Amino acid sequence: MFFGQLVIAGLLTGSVYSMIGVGFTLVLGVGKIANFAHGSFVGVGLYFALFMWQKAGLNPYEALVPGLLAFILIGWAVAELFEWRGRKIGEIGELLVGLALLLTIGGLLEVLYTDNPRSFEAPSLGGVSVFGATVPWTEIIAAIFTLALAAATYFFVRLSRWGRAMRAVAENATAAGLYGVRAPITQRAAVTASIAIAGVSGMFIAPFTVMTPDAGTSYLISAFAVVIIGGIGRTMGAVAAGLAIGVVEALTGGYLSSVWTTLAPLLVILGFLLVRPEAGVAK
Amino acid sequence: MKHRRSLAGLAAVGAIVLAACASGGGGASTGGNAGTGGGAAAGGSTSGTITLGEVTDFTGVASTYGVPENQGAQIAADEINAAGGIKSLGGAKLQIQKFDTQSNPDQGVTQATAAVAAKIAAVFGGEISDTVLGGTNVTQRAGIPWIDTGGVADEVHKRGYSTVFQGIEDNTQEAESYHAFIGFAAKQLGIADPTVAISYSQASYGQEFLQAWQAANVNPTYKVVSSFGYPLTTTDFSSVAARMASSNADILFNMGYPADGLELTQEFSAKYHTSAKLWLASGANYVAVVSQLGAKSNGTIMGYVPAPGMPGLPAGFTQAYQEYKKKFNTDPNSQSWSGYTAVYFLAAALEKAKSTAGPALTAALKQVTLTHGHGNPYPVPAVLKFGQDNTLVEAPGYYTQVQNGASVLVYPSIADAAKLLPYAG
Amino acid sequence: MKALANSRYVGLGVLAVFFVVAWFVVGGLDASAVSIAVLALYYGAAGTSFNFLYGSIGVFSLAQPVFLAVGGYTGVYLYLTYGISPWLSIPISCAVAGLIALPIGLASLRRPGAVMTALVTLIIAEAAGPVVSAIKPLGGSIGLYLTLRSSDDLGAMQFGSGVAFARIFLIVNVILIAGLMWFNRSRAGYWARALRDSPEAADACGVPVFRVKLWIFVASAMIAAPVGLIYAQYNLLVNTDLFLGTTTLFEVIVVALVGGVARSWGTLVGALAIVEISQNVTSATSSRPGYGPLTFACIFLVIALLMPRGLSGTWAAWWERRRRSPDQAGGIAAVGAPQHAAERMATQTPVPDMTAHSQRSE
Repeated sequence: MFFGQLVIAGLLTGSVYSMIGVGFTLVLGVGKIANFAHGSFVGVGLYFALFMWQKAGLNPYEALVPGLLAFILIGWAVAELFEWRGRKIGEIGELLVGLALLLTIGGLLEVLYTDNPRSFEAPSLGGVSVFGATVPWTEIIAAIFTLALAAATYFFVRLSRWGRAMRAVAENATAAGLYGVRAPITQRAAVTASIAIAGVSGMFIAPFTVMTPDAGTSYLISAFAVVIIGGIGRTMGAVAAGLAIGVVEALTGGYLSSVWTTLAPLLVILGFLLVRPEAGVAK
Repeated sequence: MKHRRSLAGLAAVGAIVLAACASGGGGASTGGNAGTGGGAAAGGSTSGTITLGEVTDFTGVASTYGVPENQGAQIAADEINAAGGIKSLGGAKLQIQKFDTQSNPDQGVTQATAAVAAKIAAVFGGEISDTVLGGTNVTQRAGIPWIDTGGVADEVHKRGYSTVFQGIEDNTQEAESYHAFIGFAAKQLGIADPTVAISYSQASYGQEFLQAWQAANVNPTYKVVSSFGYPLTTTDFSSVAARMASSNADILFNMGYPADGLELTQEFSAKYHTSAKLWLASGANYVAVVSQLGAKSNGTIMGYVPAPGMPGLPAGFTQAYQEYKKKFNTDPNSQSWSGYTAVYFLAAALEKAKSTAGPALTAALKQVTLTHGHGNPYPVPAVLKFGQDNTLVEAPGYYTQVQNGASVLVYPSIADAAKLLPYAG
Repeated sequence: MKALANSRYVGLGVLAVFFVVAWFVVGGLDASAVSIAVLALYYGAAGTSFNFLYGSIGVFSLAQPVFLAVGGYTGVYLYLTYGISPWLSIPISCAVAGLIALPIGLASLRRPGAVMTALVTLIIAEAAGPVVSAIKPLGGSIGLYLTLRSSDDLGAMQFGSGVAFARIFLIVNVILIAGLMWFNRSRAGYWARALRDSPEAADACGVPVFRVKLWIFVASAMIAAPVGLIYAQYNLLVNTDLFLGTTTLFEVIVVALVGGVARSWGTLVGALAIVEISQNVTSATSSRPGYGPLTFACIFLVIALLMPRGLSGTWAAWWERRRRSPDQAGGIAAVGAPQHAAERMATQTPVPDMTAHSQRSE
């Protein structure tokens, strides 16, 4: 029973990691930008959902369409910013922009909402009993969204023309350009998409997450972990890695003594890297 | 030649930037027109102001403590000034100058140094123990008293710095208080041979608190069936809650930060059902829990503060409370009263010492008391006073339980305290 | 060649002038300005150790705070347990940091691409906190504390005023910058640069690529340890929060990036600027929560957009443009080549796009 509860909890937490990781691996692998602010956009999504609930009475699912549009716009603006200052100047430029965005968004959220942890539950869908614990429907929906997102991304990249263009650009931008693929647009689209995904992810997890303005940093670190194991640019790898990390965390938290609760997931990651040194190669 | 010239320019730039540090640093320290030490004794300036430095976190994660603390301190200063200021120093008015440590241990020394440089008479504040531990080195050297209003590490006063005063209960006192409460609760609810499951935050706060609690439980009154820590950065408490629930203990006890208690309460009410009769979320902020979870948090026990309607409220409490609400549009919390009492302590010390000199104030702080109507907002204890080891002889400790979506006092059993109900999560 | 030797001495000369001027300036500052100066000089030195690694071989290592912590813990622990003076502990802490850096370097440097290295070092930095907390003799998460001496004690590295610490950090910074200048002109420095620009070519020329990377990684760790040791002495305490909190990590990166890698003095200037700005912003906005971080972030954003190469990168670019314009006629900009080779490489060849590893890593 207890073990089952832990595994379910781990899978649900893991799907949140996967969700964030899919977006991050996209911006890193195809957009070719290490966007330090990726986690912050998840935070923006969280607070956007809170805002829509408090001011407009819309729960996150109802606010999804306006949210998606808003995040696509924001994503495009940020992609332009990175393009202008990052790509041409060099990687210091893009790291600086990413860091600046991380700090700015965190500061903005702190001003608007202060550091008090917030939460809200909408819609109240109740839950389903599994292994003696009640699993809220909102969490299950978020997990389903993750899988749908990953599947959509995977098939898009694999099968559609745009997707193949993205893969070509990811492998060798210059060569792709010679074949008529417009690399800059493709990369910009990838950055935009990743931010849109991040924002929408934040909205999906809002009903069951306690939010603070510094959420951006902790989500960033989770995103890093997922990408290390899953591989840069690998969508399915991100999903598997996120779920694995979630389950390991839950199991160690459930059974082991305090010291190991933090260490175990990190050791797993390190161990994984040592065993598979070619990990992280873009697909 | 050009090379040399521009590189010499670099040297100039570097020196200028450092000099800018001087003016910038100077900028940070202006505004404190305090009565300087010693001279203000006899007679003193007629319409002077005395500046107190508040070194605490106004931004960052700990600002949820620091900002209310400042608000409470402000109310105290307003009351004292309205009553005529520090009479023994010619009616000098109190003024509070803020030094923001930004929830960053790096800033403890820096802000304490700025405060001392601004010639404040005394320091109070500090939410994070590390900040207080770093900054008190500076004030101890300068001979200036510091009343710690938030850092609970025993180390703060155990280091033996004579100028450091523990203005709220420290880890040991808090642990003993919880110990006493659990004993009371077990008897009330008829639990024989109580078993306890403990989860604690692996930060220094959680670990120290656990140690102190175990020390208080030295003749084991409760059997600890499960005790485990979780990382400070935990945001998802599912496994913590599952583990606590599966332990089948009578009593669930969490030693963590406010967000931890809030989340665990949510988990227990929505996901993991427990047979425990008592759920203690120490460290949780009852205002946030009630406002965000309402009736779902029924049965949760948390630390409490004096609130309207509580039996035995002292004179002056209601007025201070209303002033606070009017000025800041929100309820005061534990840190608000912590700041409030700190300012009253310092005012009393200034009155007694008739001076703003550090050593005189430090000596006076050991002698003054706060009574009902004169700076003590708590029904119990009746008198607040610092003991020999610079901690409060008796520290206030209240417990609330959420019943029907509202907080009610359940301990200490002052007349009219509500009856304790078993947890039904 | 005479031009080359000339510029080397000029650079050191300027550094010496700066050192003397700064020495006296900090002596004249008031106490609160001194504490800000200490913070700035600390981050300058810590950031320089990061920059050494990043500027010379392009390795973006987020594990530097770990080595700062090693220095801090070594100094305090040895003093509390064996009474060893912190001054003597400095070389010991270098050795300990170097030893710990070896396995970390081995684990993180054999990665396909700079991004993976960065991620791995971040994970290691995250793991360091819990690991250290688990080691009981190091005080757990509570840490170790030094007791205050009543008066200045040189042997115990305790001083009543921050001026002494500011000067110590100043010395450290100057040594590091001078060392970096020397390194850039040394053979190892040229190997490092060749390696950064094109590992395959360097390898083909006989440069032992991995070994150079590893040794520079270890060296940067050994540089960081004393910086951490001194900072712990300044605070009279050491714990995981002080060195391994997220704030420190970000601060080190921020000052290094803002300062830029084009010049060895970049990080120091970046640190002075950033700490100065953030302190002023904080004291100006302390009445309202959140405004301080937001204002600082906006200023930082502006810097990031206007000077994406960092302060020293922008300086180098400006200097390069200025130097070249009068020589355009004869196209003999190459005349300046020997003495400016180092600077020119740094400015003309932007540090390779971290993400452009696709060509060589797959």
